[in-house]
Amino acid sequence: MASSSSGLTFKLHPLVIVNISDHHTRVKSQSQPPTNSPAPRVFGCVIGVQRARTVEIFNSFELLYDPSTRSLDRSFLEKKQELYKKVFPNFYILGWYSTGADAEESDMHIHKALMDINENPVYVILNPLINHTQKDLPVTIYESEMHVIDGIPQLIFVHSSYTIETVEAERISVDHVAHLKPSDGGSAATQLAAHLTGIHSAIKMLNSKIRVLHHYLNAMQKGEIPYENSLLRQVSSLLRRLPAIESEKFQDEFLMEYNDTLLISYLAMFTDCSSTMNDLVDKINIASNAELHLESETVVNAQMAKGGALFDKLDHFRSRKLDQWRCGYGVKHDTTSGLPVGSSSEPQPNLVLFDPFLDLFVGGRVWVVAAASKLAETGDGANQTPDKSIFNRRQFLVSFKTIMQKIKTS
Amino acid sequence: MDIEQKQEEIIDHFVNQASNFKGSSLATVIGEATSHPSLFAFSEILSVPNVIELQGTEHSIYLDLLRMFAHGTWSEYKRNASDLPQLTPDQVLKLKQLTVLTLAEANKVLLYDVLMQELDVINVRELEDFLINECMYVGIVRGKLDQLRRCFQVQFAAGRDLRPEQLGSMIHTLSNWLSTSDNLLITIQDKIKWADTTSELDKKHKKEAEERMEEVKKTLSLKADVDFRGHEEMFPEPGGVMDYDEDRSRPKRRRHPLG
Repeated sequence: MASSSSGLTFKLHPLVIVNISDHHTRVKSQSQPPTNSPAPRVFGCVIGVQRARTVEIFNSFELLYDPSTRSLDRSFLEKKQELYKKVFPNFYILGWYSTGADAEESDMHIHKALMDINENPVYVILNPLINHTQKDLPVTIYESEMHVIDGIPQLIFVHSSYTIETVEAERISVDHVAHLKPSDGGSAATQLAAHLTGIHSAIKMLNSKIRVLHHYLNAMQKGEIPYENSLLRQVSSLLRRLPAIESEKFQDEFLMEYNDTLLISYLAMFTDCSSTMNDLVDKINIASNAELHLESETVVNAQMAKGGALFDKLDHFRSRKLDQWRCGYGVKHDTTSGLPVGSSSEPQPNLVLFDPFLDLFVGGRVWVVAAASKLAETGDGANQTPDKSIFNRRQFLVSFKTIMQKIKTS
Repeated sequence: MDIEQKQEEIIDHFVNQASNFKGSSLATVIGEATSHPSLFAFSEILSVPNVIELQGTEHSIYLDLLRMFAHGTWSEYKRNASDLPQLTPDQVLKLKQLTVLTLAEANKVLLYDVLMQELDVINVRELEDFLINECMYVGIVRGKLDQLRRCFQVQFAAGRDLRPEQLGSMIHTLSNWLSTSDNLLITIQDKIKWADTTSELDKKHKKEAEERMEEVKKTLSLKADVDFRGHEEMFPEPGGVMDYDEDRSRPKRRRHPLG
């Protein structure tokens, strides 16, 4: 197809592309069998505004294609046109669209049919077979021109170039779609990985552009390319902006914000762990209450004391951190690593730190069950007369049953 | 960058004029070029052969003047004022603007004192007026004026004509930038891998802990049953038949909470 010479500039909105692809996907998924290899072609109309030499295509709607008469449903088209006119009075029918790899001869019929609505309709084609190596959009715009071929004046399709133009709302939605993260990957690691991957690709693009500039300047220095002063001036002004975030003030504020974030996550984790410890201590208490009827309490008491001590220590540490944060932590910052000085003994709050406390929590459940079993052992220990032991035993069984129920439901 | 676009037409115009004229008429062209309000780039004119010819003739001072406008500052002009022709007020203004650009090359933060010295300005008010009206509104400089700290923070400054040796340092800066971004890319990739491996380890650990708990639960339930039956045999009671039955019937119900 030759290039268009009509001098019209085309502007395409992303909404049109999304509409066409949506139409195609719907038809393809609804057709049976769903794995039909040549997907059926879909057709529709594009509408927009034409101002002087600029044709701006805003929106589109679907049309039904009648393969027998090889034409589009005229009455439906007119009805739709009326409806759209009411909502968008400025928009005219500018042309039509279809899916497929390339324009076909039969398309000329439809094109001619539309010529009585618009004397120069445009034909937008979307190629649904996505080629991942291809960088451009698989959308082409054709115009019709009268060319003399073999002595007969004929209408043929000629290729036109177009630009993509976005309204603010469209830009936001396209941006949103581009940043879709997997919704079930809720874990912190996958979200972090997705975010970092985005940054990585952005920096990669920047990197390649810097490389091009570097190569160009090198060639210029070696003399392969003549000096181009205007470009050099622009590059020099760009490079002068370069140590963009080097100042001391930035370092200070950055470190402060970094420390704030670390501290807050630390605190949150500690609060979580203290509540877990609290539960654990409660369970120990429950388990030890049954002990009160029995002789040897020392074991359980020691364990309860240990659990309580750990809980107190945790609480104390947490409140100390909270105070630090509250008074703007006069803790000195190590400027290289950005952590509070003297905190090297404290572990970094990352995923790994959750492990010991997770251990404690899960282990705690194991431990309580084990403690209860120990009670069962000591329940029939020495220094008891047979009668007393039976009495104790029954009572113990009652309390044990309630304990197990409690543990199961807690 | 828009300054470059604005200047492009003017540069072309002057280059055409310079190539058409010769000798003394070039002096007028140079004079026009240096007083033009939107022209800050002179290296194209400098490279026109007619202009280069001026070197060594009686009009070479105009060539020197052009060179001064291309690379020099106001203080340099004052030092060499005897060698160079008198400047019109427009040219003085332009040279001062170019001086600001040169100062912005070296530092991002320009102290008022330095600026006042370089530009021969006595008070802060005049300095600020000059900066705002002549530099920012023209578009060659963008930045923030900090009156409390008496400094001018430059965010963007248009480029001046390059001396040949500056190209080398530009390439050096570019290669530094390139290597920094390469390192950053590698660091990011490592971080992603770290995040993935850590989450894997965490999941595994959780699973192991859960399995251990299940095991202990099972062993306990078995043990409790065994213990229970054992105790019944050890303590048979003559008069506690009802109790015995009760005790016997209990395990069936008791097993459910443990299951």
